[in-house]
Amino acid sequence: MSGTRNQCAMPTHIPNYGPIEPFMGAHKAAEGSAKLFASLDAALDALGAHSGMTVSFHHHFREGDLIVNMVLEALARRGLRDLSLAPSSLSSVHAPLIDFIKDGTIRRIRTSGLRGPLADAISAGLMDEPILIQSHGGRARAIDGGELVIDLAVLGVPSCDERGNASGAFGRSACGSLGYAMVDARNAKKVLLLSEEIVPYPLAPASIRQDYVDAIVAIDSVGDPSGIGKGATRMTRDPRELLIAGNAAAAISAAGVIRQGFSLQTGSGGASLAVVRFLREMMVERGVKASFALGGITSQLVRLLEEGLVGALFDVQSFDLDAARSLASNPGHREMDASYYANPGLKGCAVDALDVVVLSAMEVDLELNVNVITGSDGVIRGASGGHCDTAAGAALTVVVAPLLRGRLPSVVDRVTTIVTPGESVDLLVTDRGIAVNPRRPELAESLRGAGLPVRDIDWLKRLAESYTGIPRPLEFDDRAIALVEYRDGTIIDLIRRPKGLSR
Amino acid sequence: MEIVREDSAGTAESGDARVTVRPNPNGGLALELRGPSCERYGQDIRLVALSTLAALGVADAMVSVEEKGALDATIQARLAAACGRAAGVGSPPWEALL
Repeated sequence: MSGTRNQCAMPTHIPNYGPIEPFMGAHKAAEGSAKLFASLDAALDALGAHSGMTVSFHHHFREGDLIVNMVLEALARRGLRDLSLAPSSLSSVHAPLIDFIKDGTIRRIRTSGLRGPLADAISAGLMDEPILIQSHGGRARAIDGGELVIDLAVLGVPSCDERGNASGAFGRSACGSLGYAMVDARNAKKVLLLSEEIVPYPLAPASIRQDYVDAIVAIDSVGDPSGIGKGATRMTRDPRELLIAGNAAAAISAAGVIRQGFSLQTGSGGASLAVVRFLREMMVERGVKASFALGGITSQLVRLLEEGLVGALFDVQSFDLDAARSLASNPGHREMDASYYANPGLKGCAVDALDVVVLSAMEVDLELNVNVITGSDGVIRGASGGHCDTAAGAALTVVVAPLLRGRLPSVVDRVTTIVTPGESVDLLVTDRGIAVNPRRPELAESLRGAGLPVRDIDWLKRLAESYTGIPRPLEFDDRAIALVEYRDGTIIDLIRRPKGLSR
Repeated sequence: MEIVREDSAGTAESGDARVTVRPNPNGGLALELRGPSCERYGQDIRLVALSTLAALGVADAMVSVEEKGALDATIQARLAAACGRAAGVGSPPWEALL
């Protein structure tokens, strides 16, 4: 319907109100299909991709991701330079980015994690600017808070409709939650979806909404399903990991956490995952149910939900295909975005409501600082993830680690890199004893009362070194290759270049 | 102990070491060390290997140690077993390591 009344009669200024825009005809948005572009290049043309822009991606396809490499190749082909890359994380499959750093396409990177050849090359000084390591909550804080302005978010999705409603829960490359991508979608200046399937309108429930999406390109494959997720995260059978998990569950019990309506999060490492199994046994035995579980969701947590042992799962990232399937079918399995999960800059986030979190560690030092980012050779090979976010939020933070990994002690004088400060860690549970943060004497008392092997952290360090000898200190040169950001935006540590890698 | 052929002991499993011993045509000891602990413990492992070879009476050999986080006792045991096999003496003189 169109047609205009006599606009000449409409004043452009109304007394006691101010200036107004007179009506000029019914507003009609473009056809729904106008967002669909035939090719990535056509969409990049329309979206005004330019040199120096900040491009973001999500890592929900994990080691199966095809999007980041594909898009960077397209941007490099267009001759763009000095791009800032702001993916929620990077992994071993992103080795091809090395060439795009060398040729000047990429100038700056911020990410939660980095592994494989790209991590090795950056550790050796590939980039002029140090990269920024952010936690999942810290990244959400930077984006929602306007500090990190994303010019273009390129978000791979398993399925969406032609108006841009997208979900990770359906489709042959289903990855489950799109929790990290949701923050990018609602803040980026331009949002481009790369989707494997275009389904009839309306796709619902949508994780990414049509009102945020500028353009859509259908592509053959967003990811390699074998790298996206395993059928189910396998429970460890390593006796040492099971011993650590059993000790951790016993400590959580002794701390009085396992009561009606408690809440929990467990990391994805072997021992921390196995804790779920021991907690489950205790819950069944005592008739206790948990109110919610958070974070990266695995098949073990899905089982708790389906058995009625936990009221709800809040899923920022589905770690296996069981979790993705459950997100699509279980009403109690809810998707949450990274800000709801862990952003410390808004008015509350879910990690603050956690009673207990169980986290892995590569190294823990005498102050209980935790390193999950650099290996024993000082090279980056890990991810900050939600480590410092959950440690800060949870009432009880339990770090699990074997005393030795091969010949390398996990308990050291000073961690190579601090990701999580020791003041937010309550317990370190190893296969040879449990160290309690000295700020929590009442916790040490409860654990001793339950007959658990409470040890001085210094004693654990000396025990480890009695087997291994004292490690030769790592040497670094002055070149900063990465800054490690704490969740509030402050810099908690610098990663320097290991001396052996200097040229 | 005289090394007469190439032989090896150990595995590539975590916590173990794979040790290969061969005759050294140039005489003397040539020790090659590789593995994830070398950055922090290379010197310690080298010392343990050399003292073990000395205790076994092996003076001429090319020795390669590919460690996967092995502790000293494992390095010693794999080295002794590999030398025993490469010297064709079957069971190595374990008492030399005591």
